[in-house]
Amino acid sequence: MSGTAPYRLLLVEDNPADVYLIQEALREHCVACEITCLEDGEAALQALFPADETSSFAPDGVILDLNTPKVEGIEVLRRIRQSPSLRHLPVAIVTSSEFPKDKSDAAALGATCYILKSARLEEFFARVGSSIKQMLEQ
Amino acid sequence: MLKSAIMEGCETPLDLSPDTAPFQGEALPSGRRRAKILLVDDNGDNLVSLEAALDGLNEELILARSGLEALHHVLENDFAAILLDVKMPEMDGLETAEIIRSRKRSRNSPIIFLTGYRSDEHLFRGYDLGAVDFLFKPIVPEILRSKVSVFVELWRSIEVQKAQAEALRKSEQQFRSLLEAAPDAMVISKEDGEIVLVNSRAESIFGCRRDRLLGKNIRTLVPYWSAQDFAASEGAFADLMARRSDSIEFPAAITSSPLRTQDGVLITSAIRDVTERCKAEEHIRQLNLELEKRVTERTAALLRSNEQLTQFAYAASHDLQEPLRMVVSYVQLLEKRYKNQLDGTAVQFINYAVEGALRMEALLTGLREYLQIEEERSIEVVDCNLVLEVVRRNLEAAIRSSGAEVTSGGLPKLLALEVSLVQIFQNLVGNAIKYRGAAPPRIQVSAERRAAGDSSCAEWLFSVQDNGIGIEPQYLNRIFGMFKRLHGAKYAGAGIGLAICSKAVEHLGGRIWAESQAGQGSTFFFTIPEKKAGQ
Repeated sequence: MSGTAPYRLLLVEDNPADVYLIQEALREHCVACEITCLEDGEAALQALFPADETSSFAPDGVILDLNTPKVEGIEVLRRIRQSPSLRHLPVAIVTSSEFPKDKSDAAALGATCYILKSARLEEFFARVGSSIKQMLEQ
Repeated sequence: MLKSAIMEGCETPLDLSPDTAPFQGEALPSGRRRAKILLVDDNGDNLVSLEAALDGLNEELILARSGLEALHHVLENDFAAILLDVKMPEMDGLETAEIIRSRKRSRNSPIIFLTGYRSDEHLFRGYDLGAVDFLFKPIVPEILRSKVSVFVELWRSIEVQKAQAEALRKSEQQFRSLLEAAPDAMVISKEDGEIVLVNSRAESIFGCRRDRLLGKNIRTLVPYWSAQDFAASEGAFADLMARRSDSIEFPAAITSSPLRTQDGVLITSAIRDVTERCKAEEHIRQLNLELEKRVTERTAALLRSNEQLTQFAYAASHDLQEPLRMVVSYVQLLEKRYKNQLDGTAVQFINYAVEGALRMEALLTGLREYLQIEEERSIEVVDCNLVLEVVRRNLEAAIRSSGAEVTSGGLPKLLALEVSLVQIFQNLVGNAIKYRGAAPPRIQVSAERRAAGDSSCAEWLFSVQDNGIGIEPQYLNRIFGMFKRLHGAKYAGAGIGLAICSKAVEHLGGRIWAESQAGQGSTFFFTIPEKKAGQ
């Protein structure tokens, strides 16, 4: 599937600086993808579960910040896992939260991976690049 | 009379031993007191012969030539015997005797009539007037002497009795004034509780007159009074409730002593109204409770405030991290992207900016780590050898690159928080590697158990000894403070590690300190009290 047809990724992140960093990380690690970016959880839910069936948007994976406006990332993850059609959709959590509870909640709800945002750029790029690539190729 | 004077309604006389009467000696001097004998005769010759007859008795003889003179002496003296001539002019012996008898003082003085002739009329009248004997003239001195000496003996024994009675009266008076002077209510009762004597303090304390207390049972005053409690020993005491005659109860401190008399045991109870004392005690108790409550409240408030501050600091350090991450990420991206377009100085500037930001990030992370020790975790049996294994793994890179050798001996299993022990060992071993000297680090981790002392419980003393650069002694107190660093940029660090150790050790109830000389390595010590399971 690689090469011609890039992966379609949904990135839910309200901080444009983080959006850019994640895009850079994916670019640098040659993850061929087409990213749709939404800045809050509500918009993400509307895109994933549209009222109008015909405008359905089916990404190959989701990158989810936990601390998102309106609807929190963890709720978006729960809805995805509850949906019969999307329950197997790969979802990566990218967050700055070190709280063990956030990590365990995400794992319990079936997050595919949990990537901690880091101030060490190279480290962060490597982590995002390899985790997302692995997630999409599975 | 004596008995009733002492006891006032009690059939049992107090057994006041005579030897307690200090004035006995005055009444009965070692030399016997001379008895007074009154000799009355109008005939001087007769008086002389009477005197001669009685001289051998060695008593005091007082002579009177007439009835009037005799009466005069009788007013002033007590006589052991009065020898009275019947036939005298003006006032004869019988008349004189009548008057003597009519006087209170001389009513019982024995009178022996002397008469020259036997007259039945005289005899009857004489005996009627209380004569004890008649002697007929001529007087036979031996008979006279022996009769008189009988009365002298009688008088003497009465004197002894009087003196004893007086002694008893005085002793009784002393006892009474002692009783009255007592600050407490004094109640003397029989073993069955019947009250036989009280003092005036008892009247006022119980609000009841003396005559109404006597004969009552002491249990109407002190319902739980018990002879067994009080008769057994001297100075037995008890705090009991006492009841006034108006049924108002009050707390009383009662001290009792048994008094053994020939008629049984009497119990003296000193009863003190301790209402005020109880009130004061209650007041103090209330004050203490109030104080305790306030301390508890204040402590809780402080804990709350401390908890809030901790949470605030944690949240602040967490929130500060995000903008910092943006700064440091984009400065790094700037360097990464535009490195080739910048000169060396610009790249150096960027490096400084990144370094500063990363150091700040480390500070914030350390701060959160420090604050997180507060979290409630349960203690468990932890094997310190395994803890050290974890630490060795965590520090693997540093150990390898520095060529460090970490040895250990005698490390125990103890009840503690594993995460705290890891923090402590990791920071101490990590520091020993970081602040190494020229030689490869040699780090020895040891422990020894110290038995409980007078004021301390058993504890484990741990030590982490290194051969590093050491610490100048004047800095040894500073190093455990938050953000305290002794070294510049040569040694990376946020100045949080030892603060975390200190807090973790304190959290486990122990102490931490260090001994060192610059250039001679350091030894860090910490203690962890030995806890029993369930403590």
